Amino acid sequence: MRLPAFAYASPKTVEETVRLLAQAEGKAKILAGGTDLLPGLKRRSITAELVVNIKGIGDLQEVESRNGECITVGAAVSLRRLQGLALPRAALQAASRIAAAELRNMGTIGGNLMLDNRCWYCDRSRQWWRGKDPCFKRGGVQCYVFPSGSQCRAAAVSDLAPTLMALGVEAEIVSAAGRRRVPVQDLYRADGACPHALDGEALIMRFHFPLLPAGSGTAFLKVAKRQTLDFALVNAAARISLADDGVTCKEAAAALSGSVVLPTVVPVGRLVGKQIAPAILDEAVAEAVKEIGFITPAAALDVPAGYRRQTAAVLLRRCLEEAWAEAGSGVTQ
Amino acid sequence: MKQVITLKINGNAYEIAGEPRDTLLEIVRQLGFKGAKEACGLGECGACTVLVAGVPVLACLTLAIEAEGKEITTVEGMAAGQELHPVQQAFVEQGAIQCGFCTPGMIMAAKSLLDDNPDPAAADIDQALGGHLCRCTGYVKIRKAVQAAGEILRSAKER
Repeated sequence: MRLPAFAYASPKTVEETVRLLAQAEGKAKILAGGTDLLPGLKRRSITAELVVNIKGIGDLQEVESRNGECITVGAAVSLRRLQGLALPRAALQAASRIAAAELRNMGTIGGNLMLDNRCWYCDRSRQWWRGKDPCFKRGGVQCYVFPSGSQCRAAAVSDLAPTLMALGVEAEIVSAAGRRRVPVQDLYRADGACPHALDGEALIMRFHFPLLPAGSGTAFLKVAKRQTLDFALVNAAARISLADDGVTCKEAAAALSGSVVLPTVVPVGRLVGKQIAPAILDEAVAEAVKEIGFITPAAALDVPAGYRRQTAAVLLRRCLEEAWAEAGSGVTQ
Repeated sequence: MKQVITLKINGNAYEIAGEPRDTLLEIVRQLGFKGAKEACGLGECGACTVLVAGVPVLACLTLAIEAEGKEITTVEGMAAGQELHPVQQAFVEQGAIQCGFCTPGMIMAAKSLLDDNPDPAAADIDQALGGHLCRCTGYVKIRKAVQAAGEILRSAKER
Protein backbone atom coordinates (compact mmCIF):
# COMPACT_ATOMS: atom_id res chain seq x y z
CA MET A 1 0.00 0.00 0.00
CA ARG A 2 1.43 3.35 -1.07
CA LEU A 3 1.30 6.40 1.13
CA PRO A 4 -0.35 9.47 -0.41
CA ALA A 5 1.98 12.33 -1.37
CA PHE A 6 2.71 14.92 1.32
CA ALA A 7 5.24 17.62 2.14
CA TYR A 8 7.66 16.70 4.93
CA ALA A 9 9.33 18.77 7.62
CA SER A 10 11.69 17.72 10.38
CA PRO A 11 11.99 20.70 12.74
CA LYS A 12 14.64 20.76 15.46
CA THR A 13 12.83 22.94 18.03
CA VAL A 14 9.39 23.11 19.59
CA GLU A 15 9.00 26.75 18.52
CA GLU A 16 9.65 25.87 14.88
CA THR A 17 7.15 22.98 15.10
CA VAL A 18 4.43 25.22 16.53
CA ARG A 19 5.06 27.78 13.78
CA LEU A 20 4.80 25.07 11.08
CA LEU A 21 1.58 23.70 12.59
CA ALA A 22 0.03 27.18 12.79
CA GLN A 23 1.00 27.98 9.20
CA ALA A 24 -0.56 24.75 7.94
CA GLU A 25 -3.93 25.76 9.49
CA GLY A 26 -4.89 22.27 10.59
CA LYS A 27 -3.69 20.52 7.43
CA ALA A 28 -0.50 19.26 9.07
CA LYS A 29 -0.16 16.01 10.99
CA ILE A 30 2.45 15.26 13.64
CA LEU A 31 4.64 12.19 13.02
CA ALA A 32 6.17 10.65 16.14
CA GLY A 33 6.14 6.83 16.16
CA GLY A 34 4.12 6.75 12.95
CA THR A 35 2.45 3.48 13.94
CA ASP A 36 -1.03 5.02 13.80
CA LEU A 37 -0.50 7.97 11.46
CA LEU A 38 0.98 5.98 8.56
CA PRO A 39 -1.71 3.22 8.55
CA GLY A 40 -4.34 5.98 8.63
CA LEU A 41 -2.71 7.76 5.69
CA LYS A 42 -2.41 4.47 3.78
CA ARG A 43 -6.11 3.70 4.35
CA ARG A 44 -6.87 7.32 3.38
CA SER A 45 -8.82 7.72 6.61
CA ILE A 46 -6.38 10.50 7.62
CA THR A 47 -5.34 13.26 5.25
CA ALA A 48 -2.24 15.41 5.62
CA GLU A 49 -0.73 18.04 3.33
CA LEU A 50 2.28 18.34 5.61
CA VAL A 51 3.81 15.70 7.87
CA VAL A 52 5.89 17.16 10.70
CA ASN A 53 8.39 14.69 12.16
CA ILE A 54 9.01 15.61 15.82
CA LYS A 55 11.47 12.81 16.61
CA GLY A 56 14.46 15.09 16.03
CA ILE A 57 13.44 17.53 18.79
CA GLY A 58 15.70 17.01 21.81
CA ASP A 59 13.28 18.59 24.33
CA LEU A 60 10.63 15.97 23.54
CA GLN A 61 13.04 13.11 24.35
CA GLU A 62 14.01 14.43 27.77
CA VAL A 63 13.25 12.67 31.04
CA GLU A 64 13.67 14.45 34.37
CA SER A 65 14.03 12.71 37.73
CA ARG A 66 13.98 13.84 41.35
CA ASN A 67 15.26 11.63 44.20
CA GLY A 68 15.52 8.75 41.75
CA GLU A 69 11.90 9.01 40.65
CA CYS A 70 10.77 10.20 37.28
CA ILE A 71 8.80 13.47 37.35
CA THR A 72 8.60 14.55 33.71
CA VAL A 73 8.65 12.47 30.54
CA GLY A 74 9.01 14.03 27.07
CA ALA A 75 6.10 13.34 24.72
CA ALA A 76 8.29 11.60 22.10
CA VAL A 77 9.89 9.14 24.55
CA SER A 78 9.39 5.66 23.07
CA LEU A 79 7.20 3.11 24.81
CA ARG A 80 10.20 0.79 25.01
CA ARG A 81 12.16 3.46 26.92
CA LEU A 82 9.12 4.19 29.08
CA GLN A 83 9.11 0.54 30.22
CA GLY A 84 12.54 1.08 31.79
CA LEU A 85 11.90 4.40 33.62
CA ALA A 86 11.50 4.84 37.39
CA LEU A 87 7.74 5.35 37.19
CA PRO A 88 4.83 4.01 39.26
CA ARG A 89 4.22 0.31 38.58
CA ALA A 90 0.93 0.88 36.72
CA ALA A 91 2.64 3.02 34.07
CA LEU A 92 5.23 0.29 33.42
CA GLN A 93 2.58 -2.44 33.33
CA ALA A 94 0.53 -0.41 30.85
CA ALA A 95 3.52 0.39 28.62
CA SER A 96 4.52 -3.28 28.46
CA ARG A 97 1.02 -4.36 27.36
CA ILE A 98 0.78 -2.00 24.38
CA ALA A 99 0.85 -3.66 20.93
CA ALA A 100 4.01 -5.71 20.21
CA ALA A 101 7.76 -5.24 20.68
CA GLU A 102 8.44 -3.57 17.31
CA LEU A 103 5.54 -1.17 17.73
CA ARG A 104 6.75 -0.28 21.24
CA ASN A 105 10.19 0.45 19.81
CA MET A 106 8.57 2.93 17.43
CA GLY A 107 5.51 4.26 19.29
CA THR A 108 5.71 7.10 21.81
CA ILE A 109 3.95 8.02 25.06
CA GLY A 110 2.37 11.09 23.44
CA GLY A 111 1.26 9.06 20.44
CA ASN A 112 -0.39 6.39 22.59
CA LEU A 113 -2.37 9.06 24.46
CA MET A 114 -3.41 10.63 21.16
CA LEU A 115 -4.49 7.27 19.72
CA ASP A 116 -7.61 7.65 17.63
CA ASN A 117 -10.75 5.85 18.79
CA ARG A 118 -11.38 2.56 17.03
CA CYS A 119 -14.34 0.87 15.44
CA TRP A 120 -14.02 -2.43 13.59
CA TYR A 121 -16.90 -1.48 11.36
CA CYS A 122 -15.34 1.81 10.35
CA ASP A 123 -11.67 0.79 10.14
CA ARG A 124 -11.88 -1.00 6.81
CA SER A 125 -10.29 -0.36 3.47
CA ARG A 126 -11.20 2.28 0.93
CA GLN A 127 -12.44 -0.48 -1.37
CA TRP A 128 -14.83 -1.79 1.27
CA TRP A 129 -16.31 1.66 1.80
CA ARG A 130 -16.66 2.39 -1.90
CA GLY A 131 -20.31 3.00 -2.78
CA LYS A 132 -21.47 3.11 0.86
CA ASP A 133 -22.60 6.27 2.59
CA PRO A 134 -19.93 7.31 5.10
CA CYS A 135 -20.49 6.91 8.84
CA PHE A 136 -19.97 9.65 11.45
CA LYS A 137 -16.27 8.87 11.73
CA ARG A 138 -15.83 9.23 7.98
CA GLY A 139 -17.65 12.55 7.87
CA GLY A 140 -21.16 11.22 7.29
CA VAL A 141 -24.35 11.52 9.31
CA GLN A 142 -25.09 7.94 10.41
CA CYS A 143 -23.67 5.03 12.39
CA TYR A 144 -23.97 1.47 11.09
CA VAL A 145 -23.21 -0.10 14.50
CA PHE A 146 -25.86 1.94 16.35
CA PRO A 147 -28.32 2.98 13.64
CA SER A 148 -30.38 5.01 16.12
CA GLY A 149 -27.35 6.80 17.59
CA SER A 150 -26.77 10.48 17.11
CA GLN A 151 -22.97 10.35 17.28
CA CYS A 152 -19.95 8.11 16.73
CA ARG A 153 -19.40 5.35 19.30
CA ALA A 154 -15.85 4.34 18.35
CA ALA A 155 -14.01 3.09 21.44
CA ALA A 156 -11.11 4.73 23.26
CA VAL A 157 -8.39 2.06 23.45
CA SER A 158 -5.22 3.78 24.70
CA ASP A 159 -3.67 1.76 27.54
CA LEU A 160 -1.81 4.75 28.94
CA ALA A 161 -4.85 7.06 29.04
CA PRO A 162 -6.64 5.47 32.04
CA THR A 163 -3.28 4.81 33.70
CA LEU A 164 -2.04 8.38 33.58
CA MET A 165 -5.51 9.57 34.61
CA ALA A 166 -5.43 7.37 37.73
CA LEU A 167 -1.91 8.60 38.50
CA GLY A 168 -2.97 12.26 38.26
CA VAL A 169 -0.56 13.09 35.43
CA GLU A 170 -0.70 16.46 33.66
CA ALA A 171 0.17 17.16 30.02
CA GLU A 172 2.12 20.30 29.09
CA ILE A 173 0.78 21.64 25.81
CA VAL A 174 2.44 24.24 23.64
CA SER A 175 0.78 26.16 20.81
CA ALA A 176 1.05 29.58 19.19
CA ALA A 177 -1.05 30.90 22.09
CA GLY A 178 1.55 29.79 24.66
CA ARG A 179 2.04 26.97 27.13
CA ARG A 180 -0.46 25.41 29.47
CA ARG A 181 -0.80 22.36 31.70
CA VAL A 182 -3.95 20.27 31.75
CA PRO A 183 -4.88 17.00 33.49
CA VAL A 184 -4.69 14.07 31.06
CA GLN A 185 -8.48 13.54 31.17
CA ASP A 186 -8.96 17.01 29.65
CA LEU A 187 -7.26 15.81 26.45
CA TYR A 188 -10.38 13.85 25.50
CA ARG A 189 -13.95 14.47 24.36
CA ALA A 190 -16.94 12.12 24.43
CA ASP A 191 -17.19 11.85 20.65
CA GLY A 192 -15.73 8.81 18.90
CA ALA A 193 -15.38 10.64 15.58
CA CYS A 194 -13.35 13.46 17.06
CA PRO A 195 -12.07 12.17 20.41
CA HIS A 196 -9.35 14.72 21.17
CA ALA A 197 -9.79 18.11 22.74
CA LEU A 198 -6.55 19.40 21.19
CA ASP A 199 -6.72 21.20 17.86
CA GLY A 200 -4.30 20.47 15.03
CA GLU A 201 -2.08 23.39 15.99
CA ALA A 202 -1.15 22.22 19.49
CA LEU A 203 1.72 19.95 20.49
CA ILE A 204 2.08 17.96 23.70
CA MET A 205 5.56 18.64 25.00
CA ARG A 206 5.87 16.52 28.12
CA PHE A 207 3.97 14.79 30.90
CA HIS A 208 4.28 15.76 34.57
CA PHE A 209 4.06 12.81 36.98
CA PRO A 210 3.20 13.78 40.56
CA LEU A 211 5.40 12.13 43.21
CA LEU A 212 3.19 9.68 45.08
CA PRO A 213 3.21 9.84 48.90
CA ALA A 214 4.92 7.05 50.86
CA GLY A 215 2.61 4.04 51.26
CA SER A 216 1.15 4.26 47.74
CA GLY A 217 0.44 1.47 45.29
CA THR A 218 -0.70 1.38 41.68
CA ALA A 219 -1.82 -1.28 39.21
CA PHE A 220 -2.90 -1.62 35.59
CA LEU A 221 -4.73 -4.54 33.98
CA LYS A 222 -5.97 -5.18 30.46
CA VAL A 223 -8.19 -7.78 28.86
CA ALA A 224 -7.83 -8.36 25.12
CA LYS A 225 -8.34 -11.37 22.87
CA ARG A 226 -4.60 -11.75 22.29
CA GLN A 227 -1.75 -11.25 24.75
CA THR A 228 0.26 -9.10 22.35
CA LEU A 229 -0.70 -6.91 19.43
CA ASP A 230 -4.29 -6.33 20.38
CA PHE A 231 -6.36 -3.42 21.54
CA ALA A 232 -8.06 -3.59 24.91
CA LEU A 233 -11.58 -4.90 25.31
CA VAL A 234 -11.34 -3.30 28.73
CA ASN A 235 -8.37 -1.81 30.56
CA ALA A 236 -8.26 -0.29 34.02
CA ALA A 237 -5.79 1.37 36.38
CA ALA A 238 -5.94 2.24 40.07
CA ARG A 239 -3.94 4.12 42.67
CA ILE A 240 -4.25 3.76 46.45
CA SER A 241 -2.41 5.83 49.06
CA LEU A 242 -2.59 4.66 52.67
CA ALA A 243 -2.65 6.81 55.81
CA ASP A 244 0.27 6.76 58.30
CA ASP A 245 -1.22 3.73 60.09
CA GLY A 246 -0.45 1.68 56.95
CA VAL A 247 -3.91 0.11 56.66
CA THR A 248 -6.47 2.90 56.16
CA CYS A 249 -7.02 4.29 52.67
CA LYS A 250 -6.22 8.00 52.44
CA GLU A 251 -6.55 8.56 48.69
CA ALA A 252 -8.00 6.42 45.92
CA ALA A 253 -8.30 6.95 42.19
CA ALA A 254 -9.21 4.70 39.27
CA ALA A 255 -9.96 5.00 35.59
CA LEU A 256 -10.93 2.69 32.78
CA SER A 257 -11.13 2.58 29.04
CA GLY A 258 -11.38 0.18 26.11
CA SER A 259 -15.15 -0.21 25.88
CA VAL A 260 -16.11 3.40 26.39
CA VAL A 261 -16.06 6.35 24.03
CA LEU A 262 -14.29 8.51 26.60
CA PRO A 263 -11.50 7.21 28.91
CA THR A 264 -13.28 7.59 32.23
CA VAL A 265 -12.19 8.43 35.77
CA VAL A 266 -14.48 6.33 37.94
CA PRO A 267 -15.51 7.39 41.44
CA VAL A 268 -13.84 5.30 44.17
CA GLY A 269 -13.95 7.96 46.92
CA ARG A 270 -16.04 5.53 49.00
CA LEU A 271 -12.79 3.68 49.86
CA VAL A 272 -11.27 6.70 51.64
CA GLY A 273 -11.12 6.21 55.39
CA LYS A 274 -11.77 2.46 55.09
CA GLN A 275 -9.60 -0.59 55.56
CA ILE A 276 -9.45 -3.19 52.84
CA ALA A 277 -12.23 -5.78 53.00
CA PRO A 278 -14.05 -7.72 50.27
CA ALA A 279 -17.39 -6.08 51.07
CA ILE A 280 -15.92 -2.57 50.85
CA LEU A 281 -14.31 -3.32 47.47
CA ASP A 282 -17.52 -4.88 46.13
CA GLU A 283 -19.51 -1.78 47.05
CA ALA A 284 -16.94 0.61 45.60
CA VAL A 285 -16.67 -1.29 42.32
CA ALA A 286 -20.45 -1.63 41.93
CA GLU A 287 -20.81 2.11 42.38
CA ALA A 288 -17.89 2.90 40.07
CA VAL A 289 -19.15 0.72 37.21
CA LYS A 290 -22.70 2.05 37.57
CA GLU A 291 -21.37 5.48 36.71
CA ILE A 292 -20.08 4.33 33.32
CA GLY A 293 -22.79 5.50 31.03
CA PHE A 294 -22.40 3.66 27.79
CA ILE A 295 -20.48 0.49 27.01
CA THR A 296 -19.64 0.35 23.31
CA PRO A 297 -18.75 -2.85 21.46
CA ALA A 298 -17.15 -0.84 18.62
CA ALA A 299 -13.59 -2.05 19.30
CA ALA A 300 -14.66 -5.71 18.86
CA LEU A 301 -18.12 -6.20 17.46
CA ASP A 302 -18.48 -9.82 18.52
CA VAL A 303 -18.18 -9.26 22.28
CA PRO A 304 -21.49 -8.35 23.93
CA ALA A 305 -21.83 -5.29 26.15
CA GLY A 306 -22.82 -7.43 29.15
CA TYR A 307 -19.49 -9.26 29.07
CA ARG A 308 -17.62 -5.97 28.81
CA ARG A 309 -19.47 -4.43 31.74
CA GLN A 310 -18.76 -7.52 33.85
CA THR A 311 -15.11 -7.50 32.76
CA ALA A 312 -14.81 -3.82 33.64
CA ALA A 313 -16.02 -4.56 37.18
CA VAL A 314 -13.66 -7.53 37.63
CA LEU A 315 -10.63 -5.64 36.27
CA LEU A 316 -11.35 -2.61 38.41
CA ARG A 317 -11.62 -4.76 41.51
CA ARG A 318 -8.37 -6.60 40.79
CA CYS A 319 -6.59 -3.31 40.12
CA LEU A 320 -7.75 -1.89 43.44
CA GLU A 321 -6.69 -5.06 45.26
CA GLU A 322 -3.25 -5.09 43.64
CA ALA A 323 -2.70 -1.38 44.24
CA TRP A 324 -3.77 -1.80 47.87
CA ALA A 325 -1.44 -4.78 48.32
CA GLU A 326 1.49 -2.80 46.91
CA ALA A 327 0.67 0.21 49.08
CA GLY A 328 0.51 -1.99 52.17
CA SER A 329 3.74 -3.81 51.40
CA GLY A 330 5.69 -0.59 51.92
CA VAL A 331 7.05 -0.73 48.39
CA THR A 332 6.44 2.69 46.88
CA GLN A 333 7.13 2.93 43.22
CA MET B 1 9.16 15.91 -5.38
CA LYS B 2 12.07 13.51 -5.61
CA GLN B 3 15.17 14.01 -3.53
CA VAL B 4 18.31 12.04 -2.88
CA ILE B 5 17.99 9.71 0.10
CA THR B 6 21.20 8.23 1.50
CA LEU B 7 20.85 5.01 3.46
CA LYS B 8 23.43 2.80 5.16
CA ILE B 9 22.25 -0.76 4.69
CA ASN B 10 24.22 -3.77 5.95
CA GLY B 11 27.38 -1.65 6.18
CA ASN B 12 27.21 -0.16 2.65
CA ALA B 13 25.98 3.31 1.70
CA TYR B 14 23.30 3.64 -1.00
CA GLU B 15 21.93 6.74 -2.72
CA ILE B 16 18.50 6.60 -4.26
CA ALA B 17 16.06 9.19 -5.60
CA GLY B 18 12.90 9.06 -3.51
CA GLU B 19 9.98 11.02 -2.13
CA PRO B 20 9.12 11.74 1.51
CA ARG B 21 6.24 9.26 1.21
CA ASP B 22 8.51 6.34 0.29
CA THR B 23 8.66 3.88 3.16
CA LEU B 24 11.90 2.26 4.22
CA LEU B 25 10.42 -1.06 3.07
CA GLU B 26 9.78 0.20 -0.46
CA ILE B 27 13.32 1.58 -0.73
CA VAL B 28 15.18 -1.46 0.65
CA ARG B 29 13.22 -3.72 -1.69
CA GLN B 30 13.94 -1.40 -4.66
CA LEU B 31 17.62 -1.70 -3.75
CA GLY B 32 17.34 -5.48 -4.06
CA PHE B 33 17.02 -6.47 -0.39
CA LYS B 34 13.91 -8.57 -0.90
CA GLY B 35 14.10 -10.35 2.47
CA ALA B 36 11.78 -7.87 4.17
CA LYS B 37 8.24 -8.50 2.90
CA GLU B 38 5.13 -6.41 2.63
CA ALA B 39 2.09 -8.33 3.82
CA CYS B 40 -0.37 -6.10 5.69
CA GLY B 41 1.43 -2.78 5.28
CA LEU B 42 -0.29 -1.62 8.47
CA GLY B 43 1.90 -2.89 11.31
CA GLU B 44 -0.10 -6.02 12.10
CA CYS B 45 2.11 -8.84 10.79
CA GLY B 46 5.83 -8.11 11.37
CA ALA B 47 6.92 -9.45 7.95
CA CYS B 48 8.75 -6.19 7.11
CA THR B 49 10.86 -6.05 10.29
CA VAL B 50 14.40 -4.69 9.88
CA LEU B 51 16.87 -3.39 12.44
CA VAL B 52 17.40 0.38 12.55
CA ALA B 53 20.30 1.26 14.88
CA GLY B 54 20.10 -2.31 16.21
CA VAL B 55 16.44 -2.08 17.20
CA PRO B 56 13.73 -4.01 15.32
CA VAL B 57 11.20 -1.70 13.67
CA LEU B 58 8.53 -2.15 11.02
CA ALA B 59 9.94 -0.91 7.72
CA CYS B 60 6.43 -0.48 6.26
CA LEU B 61 5.67 2.18 8.89
CA THR B 62 9.03 3.96 8.78
CA LEU B 63 9.67 6.70 6.23
CA ALA B 64 12.92 6.15 4.35
CA ILE B 65 14.05 9.74 5.00
CA GLU B 66 13.67 9.18 8.75
CA ALA B 67 16.22 6.37 8.54
CA GLU B 68 18.92 8.51 6.90
CA GLY B 69 22.19 8.38 8.79
CA LYS B 70 21.19 5.30 10.80
CA GLU B 71 22.60 1.79 10.54
CA ILE B 72 20.03 -0.44 8.82
CA THR B 73 20.32 -4.24 8.95
CA THR B 74 18.19 -6.55 6.82
CA VAL B 75 18.21 -10.35 6.80
CA GLU B 76 20.71 -10.20 3.90
CA GLY B 77 23.22 -8.64 6.27
CA MET B 78 23.09 -11.48 8.80
CA ALA B 79 25.29 -14.13 7.21
CA ALA B 80 29.08 -13.77 7.12
CA GLY B 81 29.85 -14.73 3.53
CA GLN B 82 28.62 -18.29 3.03
CA GLU B 83 28.29 -18.92 6.77
CA LEU B 84 24.81 -18.41 8.17
CA HIS B 85 24.21 -16.43 11.37
CA PRO B 86 23.47 -18.78 14.32
CA VAL B 87 19.82 -17.62 14.32
CA GLN B 88 19.47 -18.49 10.62
CA GLN B 89 21.28 -21.81 11.16
CA ALA B 90 18.96 -22.70 14.03
CA PHE B 91 15.85 -21.87 11.95
CA VAL B 92 17.08 -24.24 9.22
CA GLU B 93 18.06 -27.04 11.60
CA GLN B 94 14.89 -26.90 13.69
CA GLY B 95 12.59 -26.85 10.66
CA ALA B 96 11.24 -23.47 11.72
CA ILE B 97 10.77 -22.42 8.08
CA GLN B 98 7.77 -23.59 6.12
CA CYS B 99 6.75 -21.18 3.35
CA GLY B 100 9.43 -18.74 4.54
CA PHE B 101 7.41 -15.55 4.14
CA CYS B 102 7.53 -14.54 7.81
CA THR B 103 11.05 -15.90 8.38
CA PRO B 104 13.14 -12.75 7.68
CA GLY B 105 11.03 -10.70 10.10
CA MET B 106 11.12 -13.45 12.73
CA ILE B 107 14.90 -13.74 12.38
CA MET B 108 15.48 -9.99 12.82
CA ALA B 109 13.31 -9.92 15.95
CA ALA B 110 14.98 -13.06 17.31
CA LYS B 111 18.46 -11.65 16.71
CA SER B 112 17.59 -8.47 18.59
CA LEU B 113 16.12 -10.48 21.48
CA LEU B 114 19.21 -12.72 21.72
CA ASP B 115 21.57 -9.72 21.53
CA ASP B 116 19.89 -8.36 24.67
CA ASN B 117 19.29 -11.69 26.39
CA PRO B 118 21.06 -14.84 25.08
CA ASP B 119 19.06 -17.09 27.45
CA PRO B 120 15.42 -16.08 27.01
CA ALA B 121 12.56 -17.94 28.69
CA ALA B 122 9.72 -19.17 26.47
CA ALA B 123 7.61 -16.22 27.70
CA ASP B 124 10.32 -13.74 26.64
CA ILE B 125 10.39 -15.26 23.16
CA ASP B 126 6.60 -15.09 22.91
CA GLN B 127 6.75 -11.42 23.93
CA ALA B 128 9.49 -10.55 21.43
CA LEU B 129 7.86 -12.42 18.53
CA GLY B 130 4.26 -11.60 19.48
CA GLY B 131 3.99 -9.07 16.67
CA HIS B 132 4.92 -11.62 13.98
CA LEU B 133 2.32 -13.71 12.22
CA CYS B 134 3.19 -17.10 10.71
CA ARG B 135 0.23 -18.32 8.65
CA CYS B 136 1.77 -21.79 8.37
CA THR B 137 1.38 -21.62 12.19
CA GLY B 138 4.86 -23.00 12.81
CA TYR B 139 5.15 -21.16 16.09
CA VAL B 140 6.34 -24.08 18.24
CA LYS B 141 9.34 -24.80 16.02
CA ILE B 142 10.11 -21.10 15.71
CA ARG B 143 10.23 -20.81 19.50
CA LYS B 144 12.48 -23.92 19.61
CA ALA B 145 14.75 -22.42 16.97
CA VAL B 146 15.20 -19.23 18.98
CA GLN B 147 16.10 -21.28 22.06
CA ALA B 148 18.55 -23.35 19.97
CA ALA B 149 20.10 -20.17 18.53
CA GLY B 150 20.53 -18.87 22.07
CA GLU B 151 22.41 -22.06 22.97
CA ILE B 152 24.72 -21.70 19.96
CA LEU B 153 25.41 -18.05 20.83
CA ARG B 154 26.06 -18.84 24.50
CA SER B 155 28.46 -21.68 23.73
CA ALA B 156 30.28 -19.46 21.20
CA LYS B 157 30.73 -16.82 23.92
CA GLU B 158 32.14 -19.34 26.43
CA ARG B 159 34.73 -20.57 23.98
